[in-house]
Amino acid sequence: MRLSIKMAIAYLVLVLMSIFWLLPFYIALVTSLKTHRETYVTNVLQPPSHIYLGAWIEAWNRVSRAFFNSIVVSISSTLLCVLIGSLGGYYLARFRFRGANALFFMIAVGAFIPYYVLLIPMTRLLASIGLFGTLPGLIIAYVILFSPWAALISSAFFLAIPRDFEEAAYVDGASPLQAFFRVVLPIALPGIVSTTIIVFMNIWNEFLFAVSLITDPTYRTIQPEIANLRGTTTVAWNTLMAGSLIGVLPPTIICLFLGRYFIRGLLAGTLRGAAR
Amino acid sequence: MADVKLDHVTKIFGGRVVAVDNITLHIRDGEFFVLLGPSGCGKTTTLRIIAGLEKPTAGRVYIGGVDVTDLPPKDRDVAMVFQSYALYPHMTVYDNIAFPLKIRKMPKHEIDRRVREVARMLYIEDLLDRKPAQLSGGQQQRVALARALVRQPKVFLFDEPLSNLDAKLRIEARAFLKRLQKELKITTVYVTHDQAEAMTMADRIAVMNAGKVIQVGTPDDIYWKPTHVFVAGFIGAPSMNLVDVSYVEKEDKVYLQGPGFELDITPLASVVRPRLKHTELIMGVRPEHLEIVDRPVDPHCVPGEVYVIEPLGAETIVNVRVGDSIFKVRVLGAVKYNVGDKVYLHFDLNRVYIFDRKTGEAIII
Repeated sequence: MRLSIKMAIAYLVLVLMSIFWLLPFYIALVTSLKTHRETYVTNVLQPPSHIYLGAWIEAWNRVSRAFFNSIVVSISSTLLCVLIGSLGGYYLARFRFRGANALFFMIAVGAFIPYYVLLIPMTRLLASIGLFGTLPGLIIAYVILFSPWAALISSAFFLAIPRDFEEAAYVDGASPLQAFFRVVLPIALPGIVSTTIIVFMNIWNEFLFAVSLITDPTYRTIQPEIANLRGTTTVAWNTLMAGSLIGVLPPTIICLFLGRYFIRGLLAGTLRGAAR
Repeated sequence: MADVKLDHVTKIFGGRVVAVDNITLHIRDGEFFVLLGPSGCGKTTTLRIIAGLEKPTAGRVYIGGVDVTDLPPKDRDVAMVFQSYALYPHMTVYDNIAFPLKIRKMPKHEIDRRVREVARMLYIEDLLDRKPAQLSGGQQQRVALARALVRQPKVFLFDEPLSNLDAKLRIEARAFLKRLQKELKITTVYVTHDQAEAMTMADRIAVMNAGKVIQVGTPDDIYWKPTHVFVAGFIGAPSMNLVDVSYVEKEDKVYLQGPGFELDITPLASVVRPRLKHTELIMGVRPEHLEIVDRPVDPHCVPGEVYVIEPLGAETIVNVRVGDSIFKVRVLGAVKYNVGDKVYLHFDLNRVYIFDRKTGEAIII
């Protein structure tokens, strides 16, 4: 089959865009496999003369504790956000009550307010309940920050589910909570997975609160720890890149495994029936 | 087993839209009761009020003598089949049918026994492991029915359950549902806009329009004795010929005068005259109660011309133009007439309906 000029140009643009997007990853990968000296004397695009794993070992030794801290913080706060957010989102999507619009507006404001505005109040709040500088404190901060997001995103998915399902469940003898957990939630699963992924990524990548609310290195999470890899006198680019790649590993794995759900979920609002 | 009573039930949406307007109905124990009407007439809202999915703005609902107005659906012991069937897409057929029993925490072996029993009754035993998406429309409909049946509820509620089936399957399902209901003797409220469904299945029908019940009666009553011009026009296919006429007395004879024709109704005069409030009327006559004749056989004939012939095989619908009106006439088998033939329409005065044009109410039934 002959490629038309139009198609050829389209492919060319796509290939160029892919290169453009993948280039930073490529540079990070080759740099992480070079020795410290080689990172300074060779071009950034040049592959390493031989594979050197020292930087990876060094990076892992320095970020592993923070990595597991991040896993604990991200998973627990994501689960709480999605639980609270999806119940709230369901209520917003389904029940018309006095002040519903005002509440929706406030949640939207809560979600879209520039979040660094909340840094000082959050610090004071956590300090006043004695959780400043602790992992539970950070988890609470993230739940406060991201459950409005979870509510807004999930409510869009719930709106796409026909009401008949839960009404059938009510008539079949279910209470509203039973209808939610046994009928609505399983049907909304792709949407819930999408919400979970979005919230998880945001929490995993969060830097400002992580660096401000945690002072003890024992409890530091991955993003501030990666920033620390830079060193104080010279920049150890190979270690920094290895650490960064370790840092993007969990989100990447999640996208690879749950990407199918993610796409289906994102389409749920646009294509009727895609959520089912 | 229970009867259902609606006592002056009104439902207003958003403070403005009156969906159900002061309805009082008594649905008897074990009865197959059909709510019939055009879309938007409030029949589905009425059903949802019985189910507990809508709260009436005013009035009370009783099931088996108990006031259930303030009870949630789960405490009313009713089962409902939705127009969309609303089968839970993430569950197998088995789990769908078992759901109402699982929610009630019934022992596992009892659930299994009941699910299999109802599946056998509805010929869906082979489908128990499938997901709803893998079923045909007719199979989905049976599963929805099974889910409603498995609990042996006090009242069955059907919201246009056959409207998603193709024509042939719909007629089969109609007979099947009717027989099932007669065997189980469970009080059934059935919503439809299809008058053929209502006529064939119902013990009694409530014809609704604009949120009000216009007439309640057996299919025979509704067909033969419509109390309102709306009922007369809604029931029957093709529908009743309805023509605006005036009541005219000339010498010692009485006529219904339409656009370009007049029909001698002198024998009816003694019945009609005392009930008249004014002379503006609607005359109704069913296509099956008109006869095409070559020459006037008695005074109750009017001249016309064959306008359109619609053959349907077993019967033929002949459109006859009389003055400025078209009358549809149902004739068994084929007809000998051609378009343009001059003919007479013979009216059987016992089968002529007369309605008040202002109120729509029947003057003679």
